[in-house]
Amino acid sequence: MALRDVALSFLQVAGEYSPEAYGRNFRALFWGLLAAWVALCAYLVWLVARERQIKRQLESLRRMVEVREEEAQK
Amino acid sequence: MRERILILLAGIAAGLLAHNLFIILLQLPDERLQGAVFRVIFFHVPDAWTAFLLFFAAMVASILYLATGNLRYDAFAVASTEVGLAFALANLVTGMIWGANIWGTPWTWDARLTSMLIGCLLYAGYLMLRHAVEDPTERAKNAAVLSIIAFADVPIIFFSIRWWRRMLHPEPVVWGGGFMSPDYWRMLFLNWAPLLLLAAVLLAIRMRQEEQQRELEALRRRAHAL
Amino acid sequence: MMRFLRQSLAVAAKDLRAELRTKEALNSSVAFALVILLLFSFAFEPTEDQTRQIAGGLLWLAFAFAGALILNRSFARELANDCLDALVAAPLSGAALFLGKALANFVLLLAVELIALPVFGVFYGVNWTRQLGPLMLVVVLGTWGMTVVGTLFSALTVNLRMRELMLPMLVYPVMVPALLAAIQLTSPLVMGQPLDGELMVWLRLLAAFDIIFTALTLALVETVLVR
Repeated sequence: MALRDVALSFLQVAGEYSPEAYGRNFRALFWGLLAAWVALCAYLVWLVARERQIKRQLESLRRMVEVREEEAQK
Repeated sequence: MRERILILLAGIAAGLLAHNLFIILLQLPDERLQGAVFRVIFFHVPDAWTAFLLFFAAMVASILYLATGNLRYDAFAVASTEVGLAFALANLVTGMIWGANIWGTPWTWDARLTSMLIGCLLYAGYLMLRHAVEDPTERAKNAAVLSIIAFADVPIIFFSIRWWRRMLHPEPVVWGGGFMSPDYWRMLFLNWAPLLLLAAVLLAIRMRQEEQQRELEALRRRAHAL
Repeated sequence: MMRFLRQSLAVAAKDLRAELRTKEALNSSVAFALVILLLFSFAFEPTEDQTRQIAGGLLWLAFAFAGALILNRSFARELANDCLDALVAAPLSGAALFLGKALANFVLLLAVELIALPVFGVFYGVNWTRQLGPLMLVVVLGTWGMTVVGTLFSALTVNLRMRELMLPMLVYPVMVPALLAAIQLTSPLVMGQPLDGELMVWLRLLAAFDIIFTALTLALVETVLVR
């Protein structure tokens, strides 16, 4: 039931603007807010990508410490 | 693999937000009594829902940490609390924007906003406590206790503040209950979805960061010992 | 069960005896409460009727601030000479140690309040004895709520450098429901109004807070103490 409503609301997007939207410059507001949110999502994506780099650095650091530990034991 | 999932989630969130913003701003008509600023409710309310969900998850993780001693739960708890605090602050800010527009002043000691403010102070205290303790295990244990006490207190705080405001100002609730048309309810939940997705991505990032931080400190200690 | 209570009372007695010997915390706490009442008289005209109506707020804020001093000392006193480690290692459960300290703090804070009340009556020209029974009930319940949560946080923050700052910062938001209920009850009671319909909700809230948090803190304190 709810799923059908959600799907229907997706179809709504293709429809027309409401009368208020023109008078109050909501279009500018829409683009502005959209840009802000998309920027946030892009930032998150960038953070996720950086994780990979940091993980690689941590790995090499750990290997270095282990090698030194083995040498210290001998 | 993990990275791909997270990027996918962020992408879905962005898509949903674009769709919702379009409907919220350009298609939904003004609400009868409150005009245009009413639309901020579609972020204001789901922010609160998300914050509570995250605080609850933090409490569960804290309990699990105390039960098992596995520090991963502690990483989850701090990540969940931080992200929850961010959403709680967003709730406060959007609430004040709405209030400034509707009531003329940003802060009127409305029951919900006041309770949320106290919640923010509670969890800000949690983060301060974590910063103040250096040993990871002790930090995890103390933070876990605080998280459990904080969330146990949250419903009591809400009830007491609500009763307090109702006693002093027995006015009708500003919104809620039946006066919202089903369109609005649908959009409310529909907008909750991208916020939850973003919360999940933020949570995953922060949690990984916490674990990497801990591993760095452990490596540093071992390197010093050499 | 009996052993548990006996141990708690032993700890409480030890703390009270130590405190009564020097009366450090007691004196500074009482002085602090009186200073706060004095300062409030600058903010609110003391003889105005309106001020009497917010009496509850004035009193409980003074109690809360003065209480922080007592609560802070509770576990901090044990840091010197490794007393805390000895207590934790002793054959008594963390909960018994905690309950003992909470009881001691409760008695001390109650003493501060019972000294501050008459002074408040004189400063602000209020006859607060008209509903003495219910008022004492509220004072006891409110003080226990403050004490039980505050003692737990005292244990939590004992090892931190910024203990004096962290303890109030952490405790006050948690205590909000109890403080709110106590304030809402105290104002009318001090003015002579009886405990009736609407006020009973606050009394129930206060009692519920006390029960819930006594149970919760007793359950969690072992984790905090054992390191």
